[in-house]
Amino acid sequence: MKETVYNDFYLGAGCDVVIVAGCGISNCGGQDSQHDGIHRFFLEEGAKMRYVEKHYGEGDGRGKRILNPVTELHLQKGSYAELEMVQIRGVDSTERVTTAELAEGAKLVVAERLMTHGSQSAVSVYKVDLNGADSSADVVSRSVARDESYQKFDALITGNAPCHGHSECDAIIMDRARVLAVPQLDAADVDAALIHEAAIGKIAGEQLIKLMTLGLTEAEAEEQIINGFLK
Amino acid sequence: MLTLNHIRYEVEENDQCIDIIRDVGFTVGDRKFVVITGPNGGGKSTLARLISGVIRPTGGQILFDGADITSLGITERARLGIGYGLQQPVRFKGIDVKDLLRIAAGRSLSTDEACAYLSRVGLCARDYVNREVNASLSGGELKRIEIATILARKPKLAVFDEPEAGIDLWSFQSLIRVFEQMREEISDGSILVISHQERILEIADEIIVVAGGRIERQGPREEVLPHLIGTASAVNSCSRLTERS
Ligand SMILES: Nc1ncnc2c1ncn2[C@@H]1O[C@H](COP(=O)(O)OP(=O)(O)OP(=O)(O)O)[C@@H](O)[C@H]1O
Ligand SMILES: [Mg+2]
Repeated sequence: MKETVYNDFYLGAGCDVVIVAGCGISNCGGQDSQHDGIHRFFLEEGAKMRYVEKHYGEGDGRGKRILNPVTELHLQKGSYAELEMVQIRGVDSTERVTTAELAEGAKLVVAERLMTHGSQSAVSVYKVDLNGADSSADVVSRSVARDESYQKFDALITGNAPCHGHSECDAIIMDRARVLAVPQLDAADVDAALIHEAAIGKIAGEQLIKLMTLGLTEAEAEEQIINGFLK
Repeated sequence: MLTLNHIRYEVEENDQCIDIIRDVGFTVGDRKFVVITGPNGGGKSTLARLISGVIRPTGGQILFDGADITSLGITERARLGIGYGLQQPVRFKGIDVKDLLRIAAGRSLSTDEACAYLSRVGLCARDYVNREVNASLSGGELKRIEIATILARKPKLAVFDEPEAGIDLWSFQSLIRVFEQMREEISDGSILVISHQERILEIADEIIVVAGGRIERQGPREEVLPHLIGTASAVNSCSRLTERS
């Protein structure tokens, strides 16, 4: 089964909206299913949007479900977009592509939470163009990779004007998982201030020890640490 | 309550065997307040880690309420009633103070209950209860939260590793009150504190001086304290302040 969902959102000048999208693919039958969505957002001057997209897949991460959401953002002068993207378990393979272009004074905030398990792979691609003066972007990803899963965080922020760009990838790696962070900053203006932070590591032993001294087993301590991290 | 018999702890480094704890034995009796003191690097924190199960001794035996716990892990010892406040508390991204207190108590806590523990360690509770236990907390705040987790846990034996470190002098008296309250609250409970502070040594029932991985001296406070006054083991908070200025 293969399907593509198209959604275009036009947000008029000065509006203030919250959009909630959700998708839980159930594919216990074992056959492949693909579910792609293309979301395009056009924010007019001063428009304000909060967009929440949550995917909680089922299954053990070894079926063959595929999820490829594409998000395209066009932010006009002084508009503001906040994206919360959550993907926890279940989906076997994702390639999430988010592109954004920002005009003068526009602001983009992205918070991504991701947990992969089984043999899943999850690729997150961000391409943000800060085109207008005083535009800014803050792209933050927190993720946990378990079992044999694979994650790639690929973020390119381009500063074409005096602007502020920040991206951050903070990943906990477990078992035999693999995490690749590819941060890219492209400054084409002397007043473009761009920062990237990336940290990949296993759960700190001292965190486990502390929770175990409070009576949790090692597995319970791990769950608490991960749940908090992805909260 | 707790007995250490001939405890040894050796580590191997570059094919060399280093003795960190060399044949240490002592008992913490029921309802006792015992303070371990001694120079930096003497082995005090190592003893706390051996007692809580973070590391295992390479020799000797640890008894808790008469049972041999030498081979038990951290979780099992915690569940038997051993609490451990770390010298350097741990930070967690995404876990807030209330979560940590709830985990410590082993049950859900109302905001009021959580706040009560924080107030006892001198934190203005409402400001802290929903804060994340992350890098945004100062060292002293973190240390107080660490102590609050032990209060919430109500262990039979509470081990505190330098609880006064990073806590300002003004709140020192309240810290001592925390220990006194704990003694009243946890019937049959004992407290083992690692400290360099004279005022904590002054409220001890017994003092153990550890240096070079050995016990240099141990006994009732009245016997041991006179030997320590003026040495590096007992730092008077005022003299420390005068030195600094
Ligand atoms: N795993 C280890 N490998 C090598 N050396 C170690 C190890 N653990 C502890 N040590 C050493 O053992 C000694 C005792 O350390 P410990 O932390 O117990 O001292 P302490 O008495 O708590 O000191 P302080 O007053 O500074 O907190 C130190 O010299 C330390 O460097
Ligand atoms: Mg120490």
